[in-house]
Amino acid sequence: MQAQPVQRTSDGLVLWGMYLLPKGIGLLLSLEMIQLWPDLELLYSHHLLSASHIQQYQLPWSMFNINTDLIYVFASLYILSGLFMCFHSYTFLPTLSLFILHYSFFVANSVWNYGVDYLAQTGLFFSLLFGGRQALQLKSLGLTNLGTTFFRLQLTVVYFFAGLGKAFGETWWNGEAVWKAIHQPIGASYFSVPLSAYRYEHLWVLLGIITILLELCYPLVWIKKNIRPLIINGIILMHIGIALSMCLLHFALLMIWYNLCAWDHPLLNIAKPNIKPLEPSKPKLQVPIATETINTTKGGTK
Amino acid sequence: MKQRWTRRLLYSLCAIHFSIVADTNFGHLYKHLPKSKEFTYLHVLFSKLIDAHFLGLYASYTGIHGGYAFYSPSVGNSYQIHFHCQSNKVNSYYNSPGIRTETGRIRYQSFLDMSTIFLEKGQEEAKESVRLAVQLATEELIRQYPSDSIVSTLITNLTPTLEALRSDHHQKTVYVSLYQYASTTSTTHL
Repeated sequence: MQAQPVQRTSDGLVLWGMYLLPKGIGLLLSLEMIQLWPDLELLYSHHLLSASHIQQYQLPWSMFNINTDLIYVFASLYILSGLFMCFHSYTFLPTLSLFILHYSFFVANSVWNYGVDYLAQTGLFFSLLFGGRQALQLKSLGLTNLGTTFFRLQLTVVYFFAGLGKAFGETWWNGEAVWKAIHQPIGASYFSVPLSAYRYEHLWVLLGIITILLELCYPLVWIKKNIRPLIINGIILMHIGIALSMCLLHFALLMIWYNLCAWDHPLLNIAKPNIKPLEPSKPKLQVPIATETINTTKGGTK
Repeated sequence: MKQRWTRRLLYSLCAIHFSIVADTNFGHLYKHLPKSKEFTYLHVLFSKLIDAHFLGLYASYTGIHGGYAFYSPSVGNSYQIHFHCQSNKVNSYYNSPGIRTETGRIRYQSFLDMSTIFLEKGQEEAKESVRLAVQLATEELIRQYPSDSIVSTLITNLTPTLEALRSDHHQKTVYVSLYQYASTTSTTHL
């Protein structure tokens, strides 16, 4: 799997992944908000938590508090921004809008968030600076692959530190952590593992060690391109496993999308025919090359 | 000229960005790392920098302030509230205070993860905060489903470990009650 340059302009190459990054994030975040819609009022009113309780979780530098009567207006803007990012080639303003709204909904106040919200915020930040048309602007400044490089570096530190933390825990090496994680799904899991499956102890040990190794070895995708497919596809499979066993579908899809975009995975080719070009292409005048002397005699050859 | 300055600006931003990421994550790992003086000094220095308004603002807006210690160094317990409603001799059970969507339930359960303090000593103020949350959730359920009484129980489930199952394969998942609240008059601390 090699980085796949895509001809986007008449005079050069832009990596495909950073162009697509905001589109996938926009779609996934708007779908998440659509799903959350029926519970918005309950979660963001003061019915479940007191005002002082919510205040405890508020970051000191949040721009505005989302717990207002305009909750559905903000949520509608959130969804529209995400859909605009996904289906329109101009992404800067919708990304900026979603960046601020996502921060206000899920980051500024940590009551109803979980890990995926921070990762989504980081993805929006990278989309804002380097995604979509910004990739072309950077290219004009001679910084073609800067965004891709930074985003790859970001993913590398995410996985490396996640793996390092697990490596310090004994339970990830003896299978206990994987066993506990699949028996305590955060949501309603798509399948349940019976307690009698403790007999396959080697499987749980193996899954734990593979998880640590995949995450810790993530930086190797920079060094050895021949093992890149192994690690990236392994990480994608790991996220599919997380989605199925722990019901963290939104998290899994977002991380899979990040990996596809960062490393220009061949699976991105599926999206290509559905995406409009970055710049409107003007029809070129086709002039046939003359291969023989044109007979200009009136009426042609007789 | 413009190109050179843009490059410098972006590389400086990159250096600050990844310094914050590294420090935040080393901060989370600090408890599990060998305690060297150099590392301690470095961590204190970075913590002061991040506490500075601008860097804190930057870290939170880019989503890097939380760290990436997902399920590490070990997997924590999960927590739920079970509601037992009794009305006209009819018993009904709920496991969330009227939350209808799966994503809403995941977010509510993520909030309840702070109940882990019930398994530790002290932190009375934080425990009181969770108790208040259970009470408010109960009141909300009464508002939605008027009942004669509702008994809410904050629980955690302890799945038998692989080691425990090896020694005795009849072991079952144990549900531990951490706090119980009755919407009528009596409140029980467990």
